[in-house]
Amino acid sequence: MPATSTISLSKAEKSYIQTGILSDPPFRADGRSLRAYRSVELETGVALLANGSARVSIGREGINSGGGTEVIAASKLEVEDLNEDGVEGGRIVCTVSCSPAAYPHLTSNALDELQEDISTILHQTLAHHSLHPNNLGILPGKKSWLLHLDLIVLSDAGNVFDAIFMSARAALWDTRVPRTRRITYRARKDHAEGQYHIDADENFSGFDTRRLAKATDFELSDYWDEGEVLDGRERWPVCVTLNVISQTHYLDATLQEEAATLLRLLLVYSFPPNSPPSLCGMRLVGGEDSALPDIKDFIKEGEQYAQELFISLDAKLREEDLRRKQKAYTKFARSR
Amino acid sequence: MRPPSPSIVEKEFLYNSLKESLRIDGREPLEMREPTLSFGPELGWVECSLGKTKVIAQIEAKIVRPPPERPLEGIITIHSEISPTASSEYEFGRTSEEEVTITRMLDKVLRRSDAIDKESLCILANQRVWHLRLTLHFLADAGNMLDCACLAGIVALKHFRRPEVEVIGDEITIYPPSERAPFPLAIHHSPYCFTFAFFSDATIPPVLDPSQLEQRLSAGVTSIALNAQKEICVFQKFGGVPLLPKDLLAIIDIAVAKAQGLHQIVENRLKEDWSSRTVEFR
Amino acid sequence: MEVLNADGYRSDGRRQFELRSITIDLAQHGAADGTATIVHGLTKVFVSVLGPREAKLRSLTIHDRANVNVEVNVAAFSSGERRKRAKSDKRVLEMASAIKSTFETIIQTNLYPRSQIDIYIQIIEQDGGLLQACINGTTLALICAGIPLVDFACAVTCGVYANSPILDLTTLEENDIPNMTLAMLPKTGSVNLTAMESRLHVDRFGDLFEVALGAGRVIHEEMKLAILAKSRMLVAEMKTIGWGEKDLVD
Repeated sequence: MPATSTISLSKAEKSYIQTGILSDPPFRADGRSLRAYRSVELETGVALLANGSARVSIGREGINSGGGTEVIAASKLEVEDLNEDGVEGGRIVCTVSCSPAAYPHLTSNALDELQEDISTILHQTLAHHSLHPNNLGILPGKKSWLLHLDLIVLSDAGNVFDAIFMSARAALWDTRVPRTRRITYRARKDHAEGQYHIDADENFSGFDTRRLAKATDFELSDYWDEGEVLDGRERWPVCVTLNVISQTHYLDATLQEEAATLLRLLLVYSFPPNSPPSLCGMRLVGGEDSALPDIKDFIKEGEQYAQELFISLDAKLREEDLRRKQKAYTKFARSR
Repeated sequence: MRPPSPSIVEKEFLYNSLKESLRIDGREPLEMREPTLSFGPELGWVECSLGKTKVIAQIEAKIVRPPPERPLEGIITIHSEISPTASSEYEFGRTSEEEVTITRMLDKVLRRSDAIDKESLCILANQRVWHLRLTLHFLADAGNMLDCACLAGIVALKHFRRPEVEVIGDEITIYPPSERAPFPLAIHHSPYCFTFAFFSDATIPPVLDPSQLEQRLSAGVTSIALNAQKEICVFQKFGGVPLLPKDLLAIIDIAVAKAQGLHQIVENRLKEDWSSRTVEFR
Repeated sequence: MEVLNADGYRSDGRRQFELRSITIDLAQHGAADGTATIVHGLTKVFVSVLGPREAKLRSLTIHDRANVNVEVNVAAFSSGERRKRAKSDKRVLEMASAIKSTFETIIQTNLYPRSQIDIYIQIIEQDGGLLQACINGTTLALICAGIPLVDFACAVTCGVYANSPILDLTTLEENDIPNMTLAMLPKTGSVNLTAMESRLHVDRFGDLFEVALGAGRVIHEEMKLAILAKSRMLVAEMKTIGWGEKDLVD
């Protein structure tokens, strides 16, 4: 269970924040309304050696004042043998590590526990079969891709889960799977079964891939090609954290607000195209209890927030795709 | 437990005497403690001491299956955990900075510098190779354990002999020493490590092979590992007093001369020991 | 692999003494007192500095100077092949200890007795010259955090191929030829760190030092420009909120 907060506040500070949230109209230290997010920045393609990457920050106050929650996510593909650890159709493993700079007050043991907790939540949600992309297999029964999604929390100024899921979605969106081509080695008829003939023959080319009999290996079809996007990348979910104080809830808490809030509800929604949204993860964090009807309301309202977040994130991702294409194009034009 | 830092009096005394090029144990600034090498009854067992610093190195060889990515090479592993035996400074289960330095240095000096021909440790490609395991026991720390450990390591490798092996087809026969004379390892070159300590006061000359007190009061050390053929394998200065390039080159020159001297001593001791052993042939 | 072809070009199209492009970003991030992102070609490192502050563990305090704590984290996706390095990995620990001892003499630690300065290094991409990037990044982050230093520490990797020195190596080149990382203090031209772990003849060192020191000065200029640009921006921003020239002098 993740710790509800990583900093400590005095009783007076806590009650000040709580009273502000509960009063009518509500007050927050930074003047936001209860449902407003801080400014979110997103950039894809930040780690060139990864297959897909993104950096997300929530609430950065400008280049000279810092602040804000920042997460880097990157995916890396590895070929796996099905005889060893591989799984038919590929698999996804998510790992989160927290920079000590993000949690300067935690000891290294506490930091390990925290990243373990966050990793579990992320992995359990994203590695679920309902979200699994179809193009992670390479050779049926032989080889498949292992997608490692690694996240680094560079700084935490509250609402780290939303940032983590956003960056995970962006990195997966950005991921390109190399195109592969199957290679068959054809046995010559006059040889015994199982003995492979690789040399080029007049009639049978060892690398003839037109007639796929039984694929035994694969090659990259084009080394310089970026590859294809993950199948069903629209499905990757987003997370909204509802911070609950008695019956009121608010979004995108700062670190101080998190410390003054006893209960947090993480709702992870996926919005697959042409089908209704699905709730693919939910977690209640904290030391307070909440009545079941309230939670039902929260889930309903959470869907609304998630939808809004999803739409703006989607627009930004498409914009990023365009920006990078443009950038690549201008670079190419300049070099000519 | 961290030992108490040296007293001000001790510190002043050491600095003042070093300024006059005097060392507390009577050595010249660039004089090394004479290494003592004693060999055990088994081949590849060496006790090496520099003054009161003492390290035992021991080599065992066994035959294993090579990893698929390197089917033609033998394996060398180095085990160098510093136990509290050496000094109360070290604790069980906690990696001290000294241990990291020594482990990494041994790795660089003995493994990465290609001192041992790993391909000659291959018996049958993809099937069987020798696995050499070098274990170092740190018995006493009176300063400069690093040089002592490196010396012990390389001498042990030079002293070690592996059993003769014959391969006929897929069959491997290992002959015990009583039947056929064991084989020395194929060693390309023998690197030796030299550590110099520098002091923050620029008028104090650098000292070679620092004692424990000198090491603790120094403002950083520089270690150079090189062989008698004047090839530097490791040149490591992590922080400490910034030095002008010409001073660094001067240090290198000193190390070159020392390496040749030390190589001679080691070769003589090995020869002496070997002549005292009776090798039986049948 | 041919490190230097007959026409004098390297595998990435550079000349023998050509450095890779350097990008420096000194924007503040998170709660750190100073941060710097430095990019040498395809090597990218993010350094945060916190402190001087109270030590996490009291046993770590030193009565007459600040304790410098360095932690290095290697992102699993940073290298060509994914590799998760444990915190207790000896190579990572060694690098942290090299950086720590390099900066212990450069930071004026005696000004902050009984306190701690934390340097957290996050390696995001690596393609050779890792230690070089870490040291340069740390220098910049320390300056941004306002911690007094005696000088810059400018690091560069150099190698020797067929008797001629080569600067700023990529991973491919590092694996192929003997190489050394060197950190220099530009004010005095002295050397603070050398790290070499491959076999090289003694006679090659003189040349190598000379070339590396020259490269160190070039990197110093780049770093200085970035720092000056950042300071100008800060001054301009201070003026907009009503700080006059007079306040700045005081």
